Amino acid sequence: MAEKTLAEKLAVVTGGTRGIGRAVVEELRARGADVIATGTKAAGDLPAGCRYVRLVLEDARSVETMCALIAREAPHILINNAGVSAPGAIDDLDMDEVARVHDINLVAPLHLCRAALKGMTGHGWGRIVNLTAVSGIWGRKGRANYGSSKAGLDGMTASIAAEYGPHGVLANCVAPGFIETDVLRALYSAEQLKALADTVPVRRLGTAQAVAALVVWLAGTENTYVTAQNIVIDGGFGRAR
Amino acid sequence: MSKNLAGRIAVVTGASRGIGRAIALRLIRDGAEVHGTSTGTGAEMPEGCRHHLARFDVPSSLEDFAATVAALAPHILVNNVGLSEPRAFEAIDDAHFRRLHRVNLLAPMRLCKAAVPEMKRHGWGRIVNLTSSWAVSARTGRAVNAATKEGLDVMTASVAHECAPYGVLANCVAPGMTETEGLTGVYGAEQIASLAQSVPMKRLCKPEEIAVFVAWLVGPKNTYITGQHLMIDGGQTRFC
Repeated sequence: MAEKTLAEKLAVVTGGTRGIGRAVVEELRARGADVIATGTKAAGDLPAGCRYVRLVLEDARSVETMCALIAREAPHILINNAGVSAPGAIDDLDMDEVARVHDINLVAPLHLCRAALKGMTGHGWGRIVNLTAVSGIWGRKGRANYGSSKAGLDGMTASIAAEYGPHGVLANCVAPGFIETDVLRALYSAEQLKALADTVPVRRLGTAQAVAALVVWLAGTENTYVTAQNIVIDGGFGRAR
Repeated sequence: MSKNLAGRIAVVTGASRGIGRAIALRLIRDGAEVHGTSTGTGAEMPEGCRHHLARFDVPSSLEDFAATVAALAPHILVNNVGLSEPRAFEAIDDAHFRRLHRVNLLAPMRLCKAAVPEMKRHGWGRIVNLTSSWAVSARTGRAVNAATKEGLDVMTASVAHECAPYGVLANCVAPGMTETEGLTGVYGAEQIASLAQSVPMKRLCKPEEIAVFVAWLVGPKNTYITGQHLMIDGGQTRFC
């Protein structure tokens, strides 16, 4: 049984109904946090005790409504997990699609962070964890659009850390490698996933729970000095390419 | 309080003071059987930590302790000992270089070599090697320290790559400026206050803050982070 180290803390998790976001929500609940989780559907299936809010990150009005909610609720913890992957070769990139992906992966999290920082400053305590990706660090074929949005998110997060460190706010990114989620299963066949796993030093894909454990540690009370980092959790893949 | 390291044997080098002491105490608190080294008699060790005398600048002492590590078959190895000894580049001589190279790089490598076979046999192992934020961001007088610590990082990543299929995860942790005797011995109160102002969080790190991070990395919750060089520096290294 996990210690309730996050009792009395309110957390907002975007994209909290499945995959890594869902695992983060479960870990936060296990630690006793109150959780508001978002999804794009009208209603979302969440663990007991969570509040569901519909949020469509490419819709500026939906983001604005969410910002108002965040400003009102003043969460201690914000996890920007929702994002889109959208692989595509540079030559074939549709610039409208680039704008859409960057709106979702970078601009919307920026708005949500801004909305949350005021409350965090008021508490004198805040934790932001933004989910990036290893392809935002090292690049990868077909990831110009996605990778650049995630690299931008890292730069933004580090700047938040610099500005808000004196107010007790720690801001970090977590960059997962290949994690077994619906998103990955949609991109690759079972055979391809097996071949991918063989390229990872630990010889398996990561689990959403492993990523969630790191995210929640960074967002928790035990982390008091790690800030402005983009922490890779990839079974050693990127470092050993 | 969770004893999530119960049944685990851990080796922490340099456990009598500073960051190593805090790590040893934390691992003991989490339930591990902790073996620590110091260059003293053992009276200075934290409570509950088993003492081993080891001098990593002395080859025979390193070999003796490597044999001890092999016999202990630890699940967890934390190479914390390191020498900083800032020195102007032109003043670096062979003896200085060799001593830092031996203590900062060869000794951790030797102890990893001693620990890895049994970790692979357990099918579970965690190695954390301590570097320094000054290994990443260049500083005057730190050439040998940076060279040896960066070497330690890449050595660790190579161990991570080789041992990953056996359930052994290896990472480096790079503390920023930390409130230890090592720092307070070198700088005066005024200098320390001005150093703290250069950190985005406007304060230095405490040894206990590093210990809790290291304990997480060597604990059961970390199952997929390996080969990394992780900064705990209040954001300092990241900013220009």
